[in-house]
Order: sequence, then C-alpha cells, then structure tokens
Amino acid sequence: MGSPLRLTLPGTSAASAAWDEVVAEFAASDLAMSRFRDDSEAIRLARSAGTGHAVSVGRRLERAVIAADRARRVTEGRFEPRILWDLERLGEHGAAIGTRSVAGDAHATADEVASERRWAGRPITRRTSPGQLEVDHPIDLGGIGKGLALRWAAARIATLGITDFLLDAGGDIVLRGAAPDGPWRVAIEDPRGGDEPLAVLEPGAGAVATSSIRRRHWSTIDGRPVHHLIDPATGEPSDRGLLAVTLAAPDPAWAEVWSKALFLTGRDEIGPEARRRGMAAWWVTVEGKLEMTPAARGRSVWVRGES
Amino acid sequence: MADGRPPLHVMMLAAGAAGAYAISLAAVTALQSQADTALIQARAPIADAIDAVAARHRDLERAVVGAADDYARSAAGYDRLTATLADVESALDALAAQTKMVGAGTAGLPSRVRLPSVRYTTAPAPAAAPRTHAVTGASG
Repeated sequence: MGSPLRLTLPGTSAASAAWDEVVAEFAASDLAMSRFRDDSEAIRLARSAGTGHAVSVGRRLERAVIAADRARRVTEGRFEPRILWDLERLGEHGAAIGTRSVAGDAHATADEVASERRWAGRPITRRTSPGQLEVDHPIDLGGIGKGLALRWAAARIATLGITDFLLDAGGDIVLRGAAPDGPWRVAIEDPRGGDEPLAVLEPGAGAVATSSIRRRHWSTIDGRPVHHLIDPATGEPSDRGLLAVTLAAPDPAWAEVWSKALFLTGRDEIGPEARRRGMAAWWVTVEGKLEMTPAARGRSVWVRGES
Repeated sequence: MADGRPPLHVMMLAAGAAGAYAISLAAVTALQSQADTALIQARAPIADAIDAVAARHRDLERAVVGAADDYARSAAGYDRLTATLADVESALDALAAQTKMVGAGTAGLPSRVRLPSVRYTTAPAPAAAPRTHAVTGASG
C-alpha cells in the first residue's frame, strides 16, 4: 500500500516489539491487497477477472473483499472497488492486469465506458467456497485495504498490552488511549497546500481518515487533470465541489469507506447526510471553506480563522 | 454281572463321552467369548459416535429450549415496547398539539425586535495551531 508508517507511544519498553508487529502486518497486508505489486494476491485475482475461474486467496484478501462488498451495500454503491480499469484508463497504472474491457482502454468514449457499467447492485465477488473468490471486474482495495491493515495492526499492538498509541499510515490514523501530554491531537491538512492546518482535532479513541485530491492527481494522455476519487456511476473523477473529506470513526476501515463515500456525495448533500448519520465529518469545498457536522465541532479544538 | 451294575467298559465309555462333551463345550464357549470380545471392540467406534450424536442431540435440545426461552422473553419485551410506543405516540400527539399552539402564538409575534446595545468582548484567537501528534490528509 506504500504508505509511510509512524507509530507513537509513550515509553520505550515495548516500542520495538510493537513496531515489529506493525511492519509485519503491513507487509502481509501489502502482499495480499496491493495493486502495485506484481506478486500480490489482489493482482492475481484481478488478472482472473471475467474468466469465470475462481482463485484461491488468503484470509486477509478474502476478509477485505467481503468487507468491501459490505461497504458497497451500506454506502448504497458510492463505495465501489470495481474501478481498477477506470484508474488504468485514466492513467494511474499499477501492476499489469491486462485489458478485457473498454473501461481499461485510454481511448474509450464515455458512452462505451458507461455501457459496460452494468454491475451496479451486484456483489463484487462470488465465494465458491471458503478461500475461493471469483470476480467479473478487477477491484481496487487501496483505501479500505489500508484501513483494514491499520485495524489489524492496532489489534496486534493491543495484544502486547499497550493501551496508549497512535499509528499513522500516510494520513489515516488509529488512536488509542492518550498521549503523555494529554489527548491525542490530529491536524487536518489544507488540501490546497501549505503547512498550516485547517483545524486541530481531539478525536478520542478510534480512527481518523481523509479522502483528498491533494496528492493523487495527474493529467491524462490528452492533458485533462484528473484525480483518484472515482465516481463509480460514471467512471470519471468525482467533481461535486469538494477537495477533501475527513472522518473520525471508531474503526479505520470504515472511516476510510465513509470519507470516500461522503466525498462522492458532494457538497450539496454531504452536510445533511453526515448529520443524519451522526458522523464526525469535516469537509473542504473547492473554495477552500472548511465545514463540519455538530459531532465534528465537538472534537475540534482549533479551527483556522475562528476565535 | 450278578450285582446289577453296568459293566466296567460301559461305565468307561459313558465317562469318556461325558468328558469329551465337557471339553467341547468349554472350547465352544471360549471361541464364542473371543468372538463377542472382538465384536464389542469392533463396535466401539460406532458406540462412541452414537454417544457423541446423543450428546450433540442433548446440546441441540438445550439450545432449542434456550431459544424458546429467548423467544418468549423477546415476545414479552416486544409487548412492553408496544405499550411504550403507544405512550410515545400519545406524547407525540400532545407535542404536536403544543407545537400547533406555539405556531399560532409565533404568528402573532413581531418580525423584528429592537434589542438594546450590549458590550461584548471576545477571547483572542490563538496565534497558531496548537501542537499536534499527527496530520491527516491526502493519502490514497
């Protein structure tokens, strides 16, 4: 998954053992779920997409695919991992998976791509038996995969008896207990750039994840600026008036799922939806304005420009 | 021959026959015992399996009885909830009536109210963000 890892915990007695657990978990999760490794299980599964053959996979990938399918159902299709061909078509290339679809063709028209998106509402995979998966479309588990790796790594740290720690995987964070100097504090970066954060949070025990277009954006072969947050309904980068969405939630995988789903919801509907679900969510509009839900306000200890 | 007892060779023949019968009976009994032991041993796994099935059956029976108890408790809880819901509905009706009254009263209020000027002060904004332990942002 290629994210820089950072583990913060008070004291040093068990730090080395905890770090070993984190590194081991992320190495195993990377081998299971990465789309950038030629030898990963996810790539092997992607290459089998549409062939009608089931592939034997390990427990991590199986659990991730099941979790992703549940996330798709719960978010009513806004979280959708079957966008790997779209990312390839738009120019963000991982390990080679082959192209058996116009969705992976950089020269495909929008109508051709849309005509293939008939999987809406259908499960991601068929489990022919435990440990055997069959898919029609290759899947991208990048976001939820990192969230799951964080979940599993945090569980491994907890088995060492460590109750206070902060585990950061490239901006997705798990927090337990407290820092030596008080509650853990997390800054929300400005998606437009700059070092000064937009807000500082005290999320409490749980997780924080952000979906943002600050880093993973590029230009297509015809010079069109695009980013990685794909709207599954169109196969194109979401363009609904948001630059970033941050979510605080009990679990890192679901924080990741909902930050992405809310990003795709768009600026007009994100507030009502996040409030209705009681979520602690912060979002930044294309004008750079930070907005948040009441639950998020209660966790914000500092907001740029507010007294 | 004059004393009326059977002749000696007849007695010996009878004794020999009785002995042979006793030996044969003992041999047959021994063979039967061995066969029974072997049969019992051969049937032991099946008997074990039957015991296990019986134990599972008892577990299942206990689970079914437990589920029936749970169902009864749930049904009772549902009955209580239904009664509570009726109370909530009544309270909502009352609230709706009060809201209607408030709405009517609100209609009579002036749309603008002139407030006296007040003095207020605000706490100075922090010059910079407080120290943090991590940054959340674009990652993937």
